[in-house]
Amino acid sequence: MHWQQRPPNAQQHLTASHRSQGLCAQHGALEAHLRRALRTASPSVAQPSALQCLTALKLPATPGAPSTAPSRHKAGGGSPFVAALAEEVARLTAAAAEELRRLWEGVLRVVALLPATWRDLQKLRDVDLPYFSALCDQVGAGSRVAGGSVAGGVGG
Amino acid sequence: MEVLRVEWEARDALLDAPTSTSSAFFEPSTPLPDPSTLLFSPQPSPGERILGLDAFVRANVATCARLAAAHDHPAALAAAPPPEHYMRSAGGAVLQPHALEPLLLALSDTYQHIRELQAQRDSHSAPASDSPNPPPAPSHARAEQQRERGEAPPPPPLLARFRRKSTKFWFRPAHALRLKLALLPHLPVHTFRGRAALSFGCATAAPAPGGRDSALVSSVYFDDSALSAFQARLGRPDGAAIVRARWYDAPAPPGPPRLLFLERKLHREPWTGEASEKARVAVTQPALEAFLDGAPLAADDADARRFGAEVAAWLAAGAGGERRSALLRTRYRRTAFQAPEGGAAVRVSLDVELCAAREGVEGVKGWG
Repeated sequence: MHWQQRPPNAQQHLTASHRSQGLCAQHGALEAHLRRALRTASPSVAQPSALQCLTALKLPATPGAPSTAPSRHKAGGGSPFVAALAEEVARLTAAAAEELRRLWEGVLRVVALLPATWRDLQKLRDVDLPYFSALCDQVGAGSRVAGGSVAGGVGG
Repeated sequence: MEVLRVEWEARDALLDAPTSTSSAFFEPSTPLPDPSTLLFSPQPSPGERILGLDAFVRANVATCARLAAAHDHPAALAAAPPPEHYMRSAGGAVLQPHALEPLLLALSDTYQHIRELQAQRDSHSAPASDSPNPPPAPSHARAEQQRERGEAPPPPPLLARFRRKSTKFWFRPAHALRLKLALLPHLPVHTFRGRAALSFGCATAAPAPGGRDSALVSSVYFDDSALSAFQARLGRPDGAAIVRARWYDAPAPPGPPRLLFLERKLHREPWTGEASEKARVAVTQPALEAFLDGAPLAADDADARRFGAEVAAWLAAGAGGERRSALLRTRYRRTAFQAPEGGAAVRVSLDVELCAAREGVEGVKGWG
C-alpha cells in the first residue's frame, strides 16, 4: 500500500480508547477475583505456594517462543487461590501482550505512512494534509507541516 | 529513598549558568499516570498509551504480588508491601522485562525522522527541491547502511577533550519511562551499538525491531587508601582531578582487543580563567594494563602520550607517597539522548541500576 493511501481503519485506530478502557476494567476484576479466592484459601505445605505459581508462570525469554514452564493451567496446583492467581495472571499477560501488539501496530503504521523525504512530503500538499497532520500529532511532532497545523506533545 | 540519576550536559557556549555543575531533584510537573484516568483519555498518543500500559502492568503486578504474599504468609505480610522476590516473579510472568524499550527506540526514530524532514524542508525551498542530489539518508539509517557495506565505523580520536556544563538531577525509578517519553520529541536515543533502522515511507509492514535503549557503562576509579582523590572531588579545590578507566556494554567476544577509555576529569576554579575539562584517550585493554603496570602510554599521538604522562604522574602522587590504584568500580545502565553525527550540543543521559563495588574484593576485577 502506498503511503498516501489511507488505511481502512487508521483514523479509528488513532482515536479509539476502548482497548485501554478494557485494560482498566480488567484490573478491577482481577483484584476482586483474587480477593474472593484469597478469603477461601487454606494454604498448606502440601500445596504449591503462590510464589511457586508465579515463578512457574515466567514468560519465555524470546517472545512467541514456547514456554518451558509448566502450563498455566497446571501451575495452579490444588489451592483455589493459586489456581485463580494462575488464571488471572494469564489474562493479565494476554491483555498486556495485546496492548503492546497494538501499540507496535500503530507506531509501525505511522512509520510506513511518513514520507521518506521532504520531497515526498511536498507531493502530499494537496492530497491529505489533515490526515498527515493528525499522524504527526500522534507522534508528538511540534511543527507546522505545509500549512497543516500540528500541535506538539507526547504523553509525559 | 531509591533514586536514579539524570545528567544534562551542554556545551558551555550554549548555557549561561554561572556554575558548571549543579544538582537538583527531578519531579514531573504533573502527577504520574493513573490507569483509571489515563486509560480513559479520549485520544491517547503512543506515549500516553505506553505510560498507560506501564502503569497498568505495575498496578496489577503489585496486586498479584501483594495477594500472593498474603496467601503464603497471611500473618506476617498481610499489611506489608509485597516482598521484592514476589514482585520480580509476578513481573516476569506478565511482561518481558524491557519489553517497552524497542518501542521507545521506534518512537525515537520517528521523531528524529520528522526533525530531519523539517531540516530538509528548511534547507530545500520549493525550487531547490528539484535538485538532482538526493536528500541524505536519515542519520539513524546511515550507521546501518555503513554496516551493510562492511565499512567499519570511524575510529575514535586518540585524545579527546570535552568542555561541557552539566546539571545533574535525581529521579525516582517510577519516573524513568515518563522522563524518557518527555525527552524523545526533543532528542533521539543514542545507542552505543548499531541497530536495525526503520524504513520510513515503505509500504511493506516492517517487523517490530528489538533492541534496548540503554547500554552498560562500567568504570574503574583510581585512588589511594586515604581516598585523597575522592575527598578532593568533594571539596573541589582548583586542580582536583579524578582518573578512571571506562568501557561500554557487555564483555567483548574473542577477537580484537577491547577498546577502553582512560579518562581524567580536571576541575578548574573560575578565578583562574581556565575551564574544567574532561579528557580521554582510547586505548586497547593490553595497552591500558601495561600503562597501569608503569609503562608509558602506547599511543601514536604526541598529545595522547603527554596526557598519559600527566595521568601517570597523578597516579604516582597519592597521599603519603602511595601510588593510586584501581579502588572503586561502578556500573550502571545509561540511556543517552543526543543529536546524531557527533554534533551533540546538548546531551541528556539517564543512569539506572547504579551499582558500586570495591575493586579487587570478591572477584571484582578485570575489564569485563
